[in-house]
Amino acid sequence: MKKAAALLVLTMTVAFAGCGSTPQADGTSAESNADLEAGTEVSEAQDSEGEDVLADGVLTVGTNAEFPPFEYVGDDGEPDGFDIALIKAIGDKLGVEVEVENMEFDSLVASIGSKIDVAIAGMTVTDERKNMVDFSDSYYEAVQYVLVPMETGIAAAEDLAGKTIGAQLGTTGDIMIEDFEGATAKQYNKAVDAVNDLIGGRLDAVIVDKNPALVFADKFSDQIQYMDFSFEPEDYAIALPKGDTALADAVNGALAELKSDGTFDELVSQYIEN
Amino acid sequence: MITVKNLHKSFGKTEVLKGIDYHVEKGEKIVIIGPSGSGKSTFLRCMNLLEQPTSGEIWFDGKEITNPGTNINKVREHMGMVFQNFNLFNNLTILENITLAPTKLKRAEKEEARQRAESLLKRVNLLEKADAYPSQLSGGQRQRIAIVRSLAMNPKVMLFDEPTSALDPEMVGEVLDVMKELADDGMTMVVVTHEMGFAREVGSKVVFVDEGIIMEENTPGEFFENPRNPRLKDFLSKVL
Amino acid sequence: MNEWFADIAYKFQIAFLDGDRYKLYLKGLGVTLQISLFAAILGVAIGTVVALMKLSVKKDGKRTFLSVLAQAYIDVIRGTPSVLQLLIMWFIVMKGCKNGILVAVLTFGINSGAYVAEIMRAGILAVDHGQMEAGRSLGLSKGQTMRYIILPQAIKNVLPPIGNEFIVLLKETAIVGYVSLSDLTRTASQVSSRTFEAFMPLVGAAVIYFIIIKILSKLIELLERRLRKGDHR
Repeated sequence: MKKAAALLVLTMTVAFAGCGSTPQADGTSAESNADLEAGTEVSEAQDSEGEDVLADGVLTVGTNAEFPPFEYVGDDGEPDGFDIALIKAIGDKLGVEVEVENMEFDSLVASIGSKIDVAIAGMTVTDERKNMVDFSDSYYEAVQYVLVPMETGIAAAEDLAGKTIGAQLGTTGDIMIEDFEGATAKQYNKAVDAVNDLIGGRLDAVIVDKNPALVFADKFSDQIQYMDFSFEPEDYAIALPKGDTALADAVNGALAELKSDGTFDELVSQYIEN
Repeated sequence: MITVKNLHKSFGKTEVLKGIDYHVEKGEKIVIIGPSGSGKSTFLRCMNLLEQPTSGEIWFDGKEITNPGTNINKVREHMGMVFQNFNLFNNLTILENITLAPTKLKRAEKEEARQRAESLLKRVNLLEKADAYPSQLSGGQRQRIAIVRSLAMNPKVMLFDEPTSALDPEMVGEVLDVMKELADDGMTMVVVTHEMGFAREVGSKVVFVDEGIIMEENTPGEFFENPRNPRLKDFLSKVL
Repeated sequence: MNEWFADIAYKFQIAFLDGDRYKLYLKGLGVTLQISLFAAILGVAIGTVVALMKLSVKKDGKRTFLSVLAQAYIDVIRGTPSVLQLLIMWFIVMKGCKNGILVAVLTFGINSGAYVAEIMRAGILAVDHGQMEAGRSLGLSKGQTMRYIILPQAIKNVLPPIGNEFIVLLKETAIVGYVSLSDLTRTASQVSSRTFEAFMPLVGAAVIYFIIIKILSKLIELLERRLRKGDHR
């Protein structure tokens, strides 16, 4: 019995040590996560800002590889896509190795500072998110599109009122559904699940970012179509630990370099315009 | 009333009954004795097809019940059976134990079945236990209820499979008394038992079964005073 | 210390009170309970039938076709993850069905049925064989004896494991978020995706599950005690 207990304690210690291996980035997030991580060590290096994220030579990046063409699981089983290529290029510029963690979209923001250092996931800059994290300079401008069946009564944004609308949980599209009066929101883990239910007739519409919308509409071109209701465009940016200005400067600097040396445009044409 | 023709029964490769022929007349009280493992219980259990004979015929009331076309449930309504382990229905009260079969088999209305059950319970002095559960009764009481449960169906014959073997000695008497009363009322009975006193006193015929066949059959007087078969002599010398 | 309390209070505020979010949890709990209750009823019905099918034997002692069928059903259900069963039901089998709760009830009912079947089978086998013989000797059919004698006793035998199965089932329904149903667990995810704060919604949902299961355990215990009334062995 005692042996079993000792084994249990050992297992838990190892498990928690594993969780804690990503250094805590800075004061704010470490504090806000202190209650979550009761029992784990909070990084002692809270005073030196920014450097400690990169100090170990590894940048741990969270994404949700369910959002083509920005991120998806490639044929080799690893996350791939525009965002992934971009963050790897940024990592090259910063001289760190990029490790990508594929996780649920709705948990990305909450994981920054604990499980991941930064997040790149076609994430729109919003005021709510800004309360929790900082954002890099915008690297892409996106707009929400609406996917509808070939035969539909939806011709304008107003028509979405009272409809059953699907979106990926926690995405801009999901949050937008509340704006349509009487609409029922259906949240999915993956955009493609929502698209499947749209094709199956369970949904009247799906709200999703423009680029994946184009991919889906192309893929299922005989069953669904996309509509552009000229929603306010949004900025995609990289989510960063709150208050870590040094890291923000480093990332923004690398981003600017990539834009000026043509790498960025190459990636756009390779992944998005292809 | 019951005719058994060339009855064989095997369990797997073991042949337990090796050809039994027997006839039970209406009103007879047949007592079957024999050493354990002789096949006497199997013989009894074949009579109402609780054991399916491997071959042979069994006739009851002019019907061949071993014929696959016979509705065995209908036949069993007229053949009561009492088991060594009582087998009262544990989930039902005593009254429900007795009235279940008559009501579910549409032999009596609920009220009618209840009245009959109560009069039967009175006969065995257990009326006050009507609402008790089997687990609250002693072995002797349970076996008397089991007999009453069978009688509630108005059977034409009663089969008893070692009805006193699982009882504490002081309870054997109360059960045998009920059986004797039943015999006095003219019930046709087939009884497998080790109670030699009962066999002698109540039996109209006593049958000795061993090694899967009937070795000897006679009136109680002759059976016990002048046994002819050496195996019976040997058996009696051990049990008497 | 004060700051810590203020922080907790703030997190509680945004997780449950802002925008009347507690109503979302209650709604989610309603979905969880609805699915669990009807799936449990369906599971017991399916499980009982399948247990009887599995126990059926021919006169020569060989297994019947129904018995083989029952075994196949149990093997398939127990051999595949329930998440996959749910996705298969949702995206393939019941593709056209818009009533998500119904799909979930059927999925979990069919799933639970396999486990209940094995529990029921063991419960039936645990009833003394003499009970069946006594019933048959009185002229009752096999079905009648099963219904009036064996099953009531079997149910008493299986109440503890069945209660356990209900608890497992209730928690298992937490995967319905996969198919866009807003149960308690998914509600917690939704709230945390809005507030970017995971602790309160997740722990809050866990506490609600815990309380519900505690109540359920108590009810099962009470029922067990009532059914044991006729039992003084």
